[in-house]
Amino acid sequence: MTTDTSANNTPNSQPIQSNWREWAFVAALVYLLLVAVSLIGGGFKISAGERAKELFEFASNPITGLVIGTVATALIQSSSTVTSIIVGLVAGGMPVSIAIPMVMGANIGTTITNTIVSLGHIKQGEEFKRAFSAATIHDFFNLLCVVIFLPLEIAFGFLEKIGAYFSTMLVGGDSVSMSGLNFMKAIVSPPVGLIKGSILSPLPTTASGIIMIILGVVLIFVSITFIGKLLKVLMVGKAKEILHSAVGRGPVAGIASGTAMTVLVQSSSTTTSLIVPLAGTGVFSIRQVYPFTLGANIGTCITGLLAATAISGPNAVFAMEIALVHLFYNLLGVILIYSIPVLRNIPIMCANWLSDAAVKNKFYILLYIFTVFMIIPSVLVFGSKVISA
Amino acid sequence: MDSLEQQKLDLHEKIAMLEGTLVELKSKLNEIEEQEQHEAIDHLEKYLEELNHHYSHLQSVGQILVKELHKVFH
Repeated sequence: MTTDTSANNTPNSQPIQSNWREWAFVAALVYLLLVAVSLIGGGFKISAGERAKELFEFASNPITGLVIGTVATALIQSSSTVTSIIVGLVAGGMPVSIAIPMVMGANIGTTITNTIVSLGHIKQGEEFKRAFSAATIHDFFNLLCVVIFLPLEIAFGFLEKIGAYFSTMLVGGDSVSMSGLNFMKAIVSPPVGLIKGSILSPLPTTASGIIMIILGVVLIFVSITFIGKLLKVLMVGKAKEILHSAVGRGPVAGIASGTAMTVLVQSSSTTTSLIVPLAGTGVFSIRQVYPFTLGANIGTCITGLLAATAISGPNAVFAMEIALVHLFYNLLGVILIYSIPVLRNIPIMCANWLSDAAVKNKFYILLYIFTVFMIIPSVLVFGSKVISA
Repeated sequence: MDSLEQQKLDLHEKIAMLEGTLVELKSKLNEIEEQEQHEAIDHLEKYLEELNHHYSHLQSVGQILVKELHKVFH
Protein backbone atom coordinates (compact mmCIF):
# COMPACT_ATOMS: atom_id res chain seq x y z
CA MET A 1 0.00 0.00 0.00
CA THR A 2 1.36 3.36 -0.98
CA THR A 3 1.72 5.99 1.68
CA ASP A 4 0.70 9.52 0.78
CA THR A 5 3.60 11.69 1.78
CA SER A 6 1.81 14.90 0.84
CA ALA A 7 0.61 14.97 4.43
CA ASN A 8 4.15 15.90 5.42
CA ASN A 9 3.83 19.20 3.58
CA THR A 10 0.98 20.51 5.68
CA PRO A 11 1.80 23.32 8.08
CA ASN A 12 0.70 21.17 11.01
CA SER A 13 3.31 18.50 10.35
CA GLN A 14 6.34 20.75 10.27
CA PRO A 15 9.48 19.38 11.85
CA ILE A 16 9.75 19.53 15.61
CA GLN A 17 12.32 22.39 15.42
CA SER A 18 9.77 24.78 13.87
CA ASN A 19 7.10 23.88 16.47
CA TRP A 20 9.45 23.92 19.42
CA ARG A 21 7.25 26.29 21.45
CA GLU A 22 4.27 23.94 21.16
CA TRP A 23 6.42 20.91 21.97
CA ALA A 24 7.93 22.69 24.97
CA PHE A 25 4.38 23.45 26.11
CA VAL A 26 3.41 19.77 25.68
CA ALA A 27 6.45 18.74 27.76
CA ALA A 28 5.48 21.26 30.45
CA LEU A 29 1.91 19.94 30.48
CA VAL A 30 3.12 16.33 30.80
CA TYR A 31 5.23 17.46 33.75
CA LEU A 32 2.17 19.20 35.21
CA LEU A 33 0.20 15.95 34.80
CA LEU A 34 2.85 14.01 36.71
CA VAL A 35 2.90 16.62 39.47
CA ALA A 36 -0.91 16.57 39.63
CA VAL A 37 -1.06 12.77 40.01
CA SER A 38 1.58 12.99 42.72
CA LEU A 39 -0.45 15.74 44.45
CA ILE A 40 -3.55 13.52 44.63
CA GLY A 41 -1.55 10.62 46.06
CA GLY A 42 0.20 12.88 48.55
CA GLY A 43 -3.03 14.66 49.49
CA PHE A 44 -4.76 11.40 50.33
CA LYS A 45 -1.83 10.19 52.39
CA ILE A 46 -1.89 13.42 54.42
CA SER A 47 -5.64 13.72 54.90
CA ALA A 48 -6.68 10.09 55.21
CA GLY A 49 -3.49 8.32 56.27
CA GLU A 50 -4.25 4.74 57.25
CA ARG A 51 -7.98 5.43 56.97
CA ALA A 52 -7.82 5.66 53.15
CA LYS A 53 -9.26 2.16 52.76
CA GLU A 54 -12.23 3.01 54.98
CA LEU A 55 -12.76 6.19 53.00
CA PHE A 56 -13.29 4.22 49.80
CA GLU A 57 -15.51 1.62 51.47
CA PHE A 58 -18.55 3.20 49.77
CA ALA A 59 -17.18 2.01 46.41
CA SER A 60 -16.26 -1.49 47.55
CA ASN A 61 -19.26 -2.84 45.66
CA PRO A 62 -17.86 -3.45 42.11
CA ILE A 63 -21.09 -2.22 40.50
CA THR A 64 -20.82 1.08 42.36
CA GLY A 65 -17.20 1.40 41.19
CA LEU A 66 -18.22 0.64 37.61
CA VAL A 67 -20.97 3.27 37.72
CA ILE A 68 -18.65 5.88 39.27
CA GLY A 69 -16.12 5.29 36.46
CA THR A 70 -18.83 5.43 33.77
CA VAL A 71 -20.61 8.55 34.99
CA ALA A 72 -17.41 10.46 35.86
CA THR A 73 -15.94 9.79 32.41
CA ALA A 74 -19.19 10.59 30.61
CA LEU A 75 -19.34 13.93 32.43
CA ILE A 76 -15.67 14.85 31.93
CA GLN A 77 -15.58 13.18 28.48
CA SER A 78 -12.02 11.97 28.97
CA SER A 79 -11.08 8.48 30.07
CA SER A 80 -7.43 9.57 30.30
CA THR A 81 -8.33 12.16 32.94
CA VAL A 82 -10.39 9.67 34.95
CA THR A 83 -7.77 6.89 34.79
CA SER A 84 -5.05 9.35 35.81
CA ILE A 85 -7.17 10.44 38.79
CA ILE A 86 -7.75 6.77 39.66
CA VAL A 87 -3.98 6.16 39.53
CA GLY A 88 -3.55 9.10 41.94
CA LEU A 89 -6.26 7.73 44.25
CA VAL A 90 -4.60 4.30 44.30
CA ALA A 91 -1.32 6.01 45.13
CA GLY A 92 -3.17 7.66 48.01
CA GLY A 93 -4.39 4.35 49.41
CA MET A 94 -7.49 3.33 47.45
CA PRO A 95 -7.38 -0.48 47.10
CA VAL A 96 -6.68 -1.73 43.56
CA SER A 97 -9.69 -4.08 43.78
CA ILE A 98 -11.98 -1.02 44.13
CA ALA A 99 -10.21 0.82 41.30
CA ILE A 100 -10.55 -2.01 38.74
CA PRO A 101 -14.32 -1.65 38.13
CA MET A 102 -13.77 2.12 37.93
CA VAL A 103 -11.32 1.82 35.02
CA MET A 104 -13.77 -0.57 33.34
CA GLY A 105 -16.45 2.08 33.78
CA ALA A 106 -14.13 4.72 32.31
CA ASN A 107 -14.05 2.67 29.10
CA ILE A 108 -17.85 2.81 28.88
CA GLY A 109 -18.10 6.49 29.81
CA THR A 110 -15.67 7.62 27.14
CA THR A 111 -17.91 6.27 24.38
CA ILE A 112 -20.44 9.09 24.82
CA THR A 113 -18.16 11.59 23.01
CA ASN A 114 -18.18 9.89 19.61
CA THR A 115 -21.91 9.18 19.98
CA ILE A 116 -22.47 12.94 20.36
CA VAL A 117 -20.20 13.56 17.35
CA SER A 118 -22.29 11.15 15.27
CA LEU A 119 -25.41 13.20 16.09
CA GLY A 120 -23.95 15.94 13.89
CA HIS A 121 -25.11 13.81 10.92
CA ILE A 122 -28.66 13.43 12.23
CA LYS A 123 -30.26 15.34 9.35
CA GLN A 124 -28.72 13.04 6.70
CA GLY A 125 -30.57 9.70 6.78
CA GLU A 126 -28.10 7.12 5.40
CA GLU A 127 -25.05 9.13 6.44
CA PHE A 128 -26.38 9.35 10.00
CA LYS A 129 -27.09 5.62 10.04
CA ARG A 130 -23.48 4.82 9.10
CA ALA A 131 -22.00 7.45 11.46
CA PHE A 132 -24.18 6.38 14.39
CA SER A 133 -23.37 2.69 13.96
CA ALA A 134 -19.62 3.52 13.68
CA ALA A 135 -19.92 5.42 16.97
CA THR A 136 -22.02 2.91 18.89
CA ILE A 137 -19.95 -0.12 17.85
CA HIS A 138 -17.36 1.19 20.35
CA ASP A 139 -20.07 1.44 23.04
CA PHE A 140 -21.28 -2.11 22.49
CA PHE A 141 -17.75 -3.49 22.41
CA ASN A 142 -16.94 -1.85 25.76
CA LEU A 143 -20.24 -2.99 27.27
CA LEU A 144 -19.56 -6.56 26.11
CA CYS A 145 -16.07 -6.35 27.59
CA VAL A 146 -17.51 -5.42 30.99
CA VAL A 147 -20.19 -8.13 30.78
CA ILE A 148 -17.44 -10.74 30.18
CA PHE A 149 -14.60 -9.47 32.35
CA LEU A 150 -16.28 -7.92 35.42
CA PRO A 151 -17.88 -11.18 36.65
CA LEU A 152 -14.59 -13.02 35.96
CA GLU A 153 -12.68 -10.37 37.90
CA ILE A 154 -15.13 -10.54 40.83
CA ALA A 155 -14.85 -14.34 40.87
CA PHE A 156 -11.13 -14.84 40.30
CA GLY A 157 -9.41 -11.44 40.53
CA PHE A 158 -7.28 -12.43 37.54
CA LEU A 159 -6.65 -8.87 36.29
CA GLU A 160 -5.49 -7.81 39.74
CA LYS A 161 -3.12 -10.79 39.85
CA ILE A 162 -1.70 -10.09 36.36
CA GLY A 163 -1.30 -6.39 37.21
CA ALA A 164 0.38 -7.20 40.55
CA TYR A 165 2.80 -9.62 38.91
CA PHE A 166 3.97 -7.20 36.23
CA SER A 167 4.00 -4.10 38.45
CA THR A 168 6.21 -5.90 40.96
CA MET A 169 8.52 -6.74 38.08
CA LEU A 170 8.57 -3.15 36.82
CA VAL A 171 8.49 -1.07 40.01
CA GLY A 172 9.61 -3.57 42.60
CA GLY A 173 7.79 -4.82 45.67
CA ASP A 174 8.61 -4.16 49.30
CA SER A 175 11.74 -6.27 49.16
CA VAL A 176 13.08 -4.98 45.84
CA SER A 177 12.36 -1.28 46.04
CA MET A 178 13.84 0.91 43.32
CA SER A 179 12.86 4.14 45.06
CA GLY A 180 16.49 5.07 45.49
CA LEU A 181 16.91 5.15 41.72
CA ASN A 182 13.60 6.88 41.02
CA PHE A 183 14.24 9.60 38.45
CA MET A 184 10.59 10.67 38.39
CA LYS A 185 10.59 11.22 42.14
CA ALA A 186 13.53 13.60 41.76
CA ILE A 187 11.74 15.77 39.19
CA VAL A 188 8.20 15.60 40.62
CA SER A 189 8.97 16.00 44.32
CA PRO A 190 10.16 19.68 44.38
CA PRO A 191 6.83 21.30 43.34
CA VAL A 192 4.81 18.84 45.45
CA GLY A 193 7.09 19.55 48.41
CA LEU A 194 6.77 23.29 47.82
CA ILE A 195 2.96 23.13 47.82
CA LYS A 196 2.83 20.78 50.81
CA GLY A 197 5.63 22.25 52.90
CA SER A 198 5.38 25.98 52.19
CA ILE A 199 2.16 27.12 50.54
CA LEU A 200 -0.22 24.90 52.53
CA SER A 201 1.84 24.65 55.73
CA PRO A 202 -0.26 27.18 57.75
CA LEU A 203 -3.38 25.04 57.20
CA PRO A 204 -4.39 22.02 59.30
CA THR A 205 -3.14 18.67 57.89
CA THR A 206 -6.55 17.42 56.73
CA ALA A 207 -7.42 20.69 55.01
CA SER A 208 -4.08 20.89 53.20
CA GLY A 209 -4.52 17.26 52.07
CA ILE A 210 -7.98 18.01 50.68
CA ILE A 211 -6.69 21.12 48.87
CA MET A 212 -3.87 19.04 47.35
CA ILE A 213 -6.41 16.48 46.09
CA ILE A 214 -8.67 19.13 44.55
CA LEU A 215 -5.69 20.91 43.01
CA GLY A 216 -4.44 17.60 41.61
CA VAL A 217 -7.80 16.78 40.01
CA VAL A 218 -8.07 20.26 38.46
CA LEU A 219 -4.49 20.13 37.16
CA ILE A 220 -5.00 16.67 35.63
CA PHE A 221 -8.12 17.91 33.85
CA VAL A 222 -6.38 21.07 32.60
CA SER A 223 -3.15 19.34 31.53
CA ILE A 224 -4.86 16.47 29.67
CA THR A 225 -7.31 18.85 27.96
CA PHE A 226 -4.51 21.08 26.69
CA ILE A 227 -2.20 18.17 25.80
CA GLY A 228 -5.05 16.78 23.69
CA LYS A 229 -5.72 20.13 22.00
CA LEU A 230 -2.04 20.72 21.20
CA LEU A 231 -1.29 17.20 20.02
CA LYS A 232 -4.36 17.23 17.78
CA VAL A 233 -2.76 20.10 15.86
CA LEU A 234 0.84 18.92 16.08
CA MET A 235 0.17 15.33 15.19
CA VAL A 236 -2.38 15.64 12.40
CA GLY A 237 0.26 15.00 9.73
CA LYS A 238 1.56 11.92 11.52
CA ALA A 239 -2.01 10.71 12.12
CA LYS A 240 -2.68 10.96 8.38
CA GLU A 241 0.45 8.93 7.64
CA ILE A 242 -0.67 6.26 10.10
CA LEU A 243 -4.15 6.10 8.60
CA HIS A 244 -2.81 6.01 5.03
CA SER A 245 -0.51 3.14 5.91
CA ALA A 246 -3.38 1.11 7.40
CA VAL A 247 -5.64 1.34 4.33
CA GLY A 248 -6.19 -2.07 2.75
CA ARG A 249 -4.05 -3.90 5.28
CA GLY A 250 -6.70 -5.69 7.33
CA PRO A 251 -7.86 -5.62 10.96
CA VAL A 252 -4.50 -6.08 12.71
CA ALA A 253 -3.13 -3.00 10.95
CA GLY A 254 -6.38 -1.21 11.88
CA ILE A 255 -5.91 -2.06 15.58
CA ALA A 256 -2.23 -1.06 15.43
CA SER A 257 -2.98 2.26 13.72
CA GLY A 258 -5.82 3.02 16.18
CA THR A 259 -3.40 2.35 19.05
CA ALA A 260 -0.60 4.45 17.51
CA MET A 261 -2.89 7.36 16.74
CA THR A 262 -4.36 7.40 20.26
CA VAL A 263 -0.87 7.36 21.76
CA LEU A 264 0.03 10.33 19.53
CA VAL A 265 -3.03 12.44 20.35
CA GLN A 266 -3.38 11.12 23.94
CA SER A 267 -7.13 10.79 23.59
CA SER A 268 -9.25 7.79 22.64
CA SER A 269 -12.24 10.12 22.20
CA THR A 270 -10.40 12.01 19.45
CA THR A 271 -9.49 8.79 17.65
CA THR A 272 -12.94 7.21 17.89
CA SER A 273 -14.65 10.50 17.00
CA LEU A 274 -12.49 10.97 13.91
CA ILE A 275 -13.66 7.73 12.37
CA VAL A 276 -17.32 8.77 12.75
CA PRO A 277 -17.35 11.23 9.80
CA LEU A 278 -15.09 8.88 7.82
CA ALA A 279 -17.65 6.12 8.23
CA GLY A 280 -20.53 8.56 7.72
CA THR A 281 -19.40 9.37 4.18
CA GLY A 282 -19.56 5.65 3.39
CA VAL A 283 -15.92 5.55 2.32
CA PHE A 284 -15.06 3.30 5.27
CA SER A 285 -17.38 0.45 6.20
CA ILE A 286 -18.35 -0.30 9.79
CA ARG A 287 -16.23 -3.49 9.67
CA GLN A 288 -13.22 -1.43 8.56
CA VAL A 289 -13.51 1.16 11.35
CA TYR A 290 -14.24 -1.44 14.05
CA PRO A 291 -10.58 -2.56 14.60
CA PHE A 292 -9.51 1.07 14.64
CA THR A 293 -11.79 1.84 17.62
CA LEU A 294 -10.37 -1.20 19.44
CA GLY A 295 -6.87 0.17 18.96
CA ALA A 296 -8.05 3.40 20.61
CA ASN A 297 -8.94 1.38 23.73
CA ILE A 298 -5.37 0.08 23.93
CA GLY A 299 -3.67 3.37 23.07
CA THR A 300 -5.48 5.33 25.77
CA CYS A 301 -3.75 3.25 28.48
CA ILE A 302 -0.51 5.16 27.87
CA THR A 303 -1.73 8.15 29.92
CA GLY A 304 -2.42 5.99 32.99
CA LEU A 305 1.00 4.34 32.66
CA LEU A 306 2.63 7.74 32.33
CA ALA A 307 0.74 8.98 35.40
CA ALA A 308 1.85 5.92 37.38
CA THR A 309 5.51 6.74 36.80
CA ALA A 310 5.02 9.91 38.87
CA ILE A 311 4.33 7.92 42.03
CA SER A 312 7.13 6.95 44.36
CA GLY A 313 7.22 5.23 47.71
CA PRO A 314 5.45 2.08 48.90
CA ASN A 315 2.27 2.77 46.91
CA ALA A 316 4.11 3.17 43.58
CA VAL A 317 3.70 -0.52 42.92
CA PHE A 318 -0.11 -0.25 43.33
CA ALA A 319 -0.31 2.83 41.09
CA MET A 320 1.57 0.95 38.39
CA GLU A 321 -0.62 -2.10 39.05
CA ILE A 322 -3.88 -0.28 38.26
CA ALA A 323 -2.34 1.31 35.14
CA LEU A 324 -1.24 -2.16 33.98
CA VAL A 325 -4.66 -3.63 34.83
CA HIS A 326 -6.19 -1.03 32.50
CA LEU A 327 -3.76 -2.04 29.75
CA PHE A 328 -4.26 -5.80 30.19
CA TYR A 329 -8.03 -5.43 30.44
CA ASN A 330 -8.12 -3.64 27.09
CA LEU A 331 -5.59 -5.96 25.46
CA LEU A 332 -7.39 -9.11 26.61
CA GLY A 333 -10.75 -7.62 25.61
CA VAL A 334 -9.53 -7.00 22.06
CA ILE A 335 -7.83 -10.41 21.79
CA LEU A 336 -10.79 -12.36 23.19
CA ILE A 337 -13.69 -10.58 21.55
CA TYR A 338 -12.12 -9.86 18.19
CA SER A 339 -10.62 -13.32 17.74
CA ILE A 340 -13.89 -15.17 18.36
CA PRO A 341 -16.23 -14.52 15.40
CA VAL A 342 -19.44 -14.96 17.44
CA LEU A 343 -18.30 -12.38 20.00
CA ARG A 344 -16.76 -10.13 17.34
CA ASN A 345 -20.08 -9.83 15.51
CA ILE A 346 -22.17 -8.91 18.58
CA PRO A 347 -21.12 -5.20 18.65
CA ILE A 348 -21.59 -4.97 14.86
CA MET A 349 -25.09 -6.47 15.03
CA CYS A 350 -26.11 -4.29 18.00
CA ALA A 351 -24.75 -1.11 16.39
CA ASN A 352 -26.50 -1.87 13.08
CA TRP A 353 -29.77 -2.68 14.83
CA LEU A 354 -29.66 0.48 16.93
CA SER A 355 -28.78 2.73 13.99
CA ASP A 356 -31.63 1.22 11.92
CA ALA A 357 -34.02 1.95 14.78
CA ALA A 358 -32.58 5.47 15.32
CA VAL A 359 -33.10 6.38 11.66
CA LYS A 360 -36.76 5.29 11.87
CA ASN A 361 -37.41 7.05 15.17
CA LYS A 362 -35.02 9.60 16.67
CA PHE A 363 -36.34 8.91 20.18
CA TYR A 364 -34.28 5.71 20.19
CA ILE A 365 -31.15 7.90 20.38
CA LEU A 366 -32.40 9.59 23.51
CA LEU A 367 -33.61 6.29 24.93
CA TYR A 368 -30.24 4.67 24.24
CA ILE A 369 -28.17 7.46 25.86
CA PHE A 370 -30.45 7.63 28.90
CA THR A 371 -30.51 3.83 29.23
CA VAL A 372 -26.75 3.27 29.01
CA PHE A 373 -25.54 6.29 30.95
CA MET A 374 -28.36 6.87 33.45
CA ILE A 375 -31.02 4.17 33.79
CA ILE A 376 -28.75 1.08 33.78
CA PRO A 377 -26.23 2.64 36.23
CA SER A 378 -29.05 3.67 38.60
CA VAL A 379 -30.75 0.27 38.42
CA LEU A 380 -27.43 -1.54 38.93
CA VAL A 381 -26.46 0.54 41.96
CA PHE A 382 -29.92 0.26 43.51
CA GLY A 383 -30.18 -3.46 42.70
CA SER A 384 -26.74 -4.29 44.07
CA LYS A 385 -27.47 -2.36 47.28
CA VAL A 386 -30.76 -4.24 47.73
CA ILE A 387 -28.99 -7.59 47.16
CA SER A 388 -26.13 -6.81 49.53
CA ALA A 389 -28.60 -5.55 52.16
CA MET B 1 -21.63 -38.83 -24.41
CA ASP B 2 -18.83 -36.94 -26.15
CA SER B 3 -21.01 -33.88 -26.62
CA LEU B 4 -21.91 -33.89 -22.91
CA GLU B 5 -18.25 -34.11 -22.04
CA GLN B 6 -17.56 -31.19 -24.41
CA GLN B 7 -20.40 -29.17 -22.86
CA LYS B 8 -18.92 -29.75 -19.41
CA LEU B 9 -15.48 -28.68 -20.58
CA ASP B 10 -16.94 -25.54 -22.17
CA LEU B 11 -18.80 -24.67 -18.98
CA HIS B 12 -15.69 -25.25 -16.86
CA GLU B 13 -13.77 -22.95 -19.20
CA LYS B 14 -16.48 -20.28 -19.03
CA ILE B 15 -16.64 -20.53 -15.21
CA ALA B 16 -12.84 -20.18 -14.97
CA MET B 17 -12.96 -17.18 -17.28
CA LEU B 18 -15.80 -15.56 -15.33
CA GLU B 19 -14.07 -16.25 -12.03
CA GLY B 20 -10.93 -14.62 -13.41
CA THR B 21 -12.95 -11.58 -14.49
CA LEU B 22 -14.63 -11.46 -11.07
CA VAL B 23 -11.26 -11.46 -9.29
CA GLU B 24 -10.06 -8.71 -11.62
CA LEU B 25 -13.20 -6.61 -11.05
CA LYS B 26 -12.99 -7.08 -7.28
CA SER B 27 -9.38 -5.98 -7.34
CA LYS B 28 -10.30 -2.89 -9.40
CA LEU B 29 -13.14 -2.09 -6.97
CA ASN B 30 -10.72 -2.46 -4.04
CA GLU B 31 -8.29 -0.08 -5.71
CA ILE B 32 -11.01 2.54 -6.22
CA GLU B 33 -12.28 2.13 -2.66
CA GLU B 34 -8.78 2.47 -1.26
CA GLN B 35 -8.21 5.56 -3.41
CA GLU B 36 -11.41 7.05 -1.95
CA GLN B 37 -10.21 6.20 1.56
CA HIS B 38 -6.85 7.91 0.98
CA GLU B 39 -8.66 10.99 -0.31
CA ALA B 40 -10.94 11.04 2.76
CA ILE B 41 -7.91 10.74 5.06
CA ASP B 42 -6.38 13.77 3.34
CA HIS B 43 -9.29 15.82 4.72
CA LEU B 44 -8.56 14.85 8.32
CA GLU B 45 -8.10 18.48 9.43
CA LYS B 46 -11.70 19.21 8.44
CA TYR B 47 -12.96 16.33 10.58
CA LEU B 48 -10.73 17.37 13.48
CA GLU B 49 -12.19 20.88 13.28
CA GLU B 50 -15.70 19.41 13.45
CA LEU B 51 -14.84 17.70 16.74
CA ASN B 52 -14.47 21.11 18.36
CA HIS B 53 -18.15 21.83 17.76
CA HIS B 54 -19.69 18.58 18.90
CA TYR B 55 -21.78 20.22 21.62
CA SER B 56 -23.64 22.23 18.98
CA HIS B 57 -24.84 18.87 17.61
CA LEU B 58 -26.83 18.37 20.80
CA GLN B 59 -28.75 21.57 20.06
CA SER B 60 -29.82 20.40 16.59
CA VAL B 61 -30.74 16.99 18.02
CA GLY B 62 -32.91 18.74 20.59
CA GLN B 63 -34.67 20.72 17.85
CA ILE B 64 -35.31 17.56 15.81
CA LEU B 65 -36.66 15.73 18.85
CA VAL B 66 -39.02 18.63 19.62
CA LYS B 67 -40.28 18.57 16.00
CA GLU B 68 -40.87 14.82 16.17
CA LEU B 69 -42.67 15.28 19.46
CA HIS B 70 -44.96 17.84 17.79
CA LYS B 71 -45.70 15.35 15.01
CA VAL B 72 -46.68 12.71 17.56
CA PHE B 73 -49.13 14.96 19.41
CA HIS B 74 -50.62 16.91 16.47
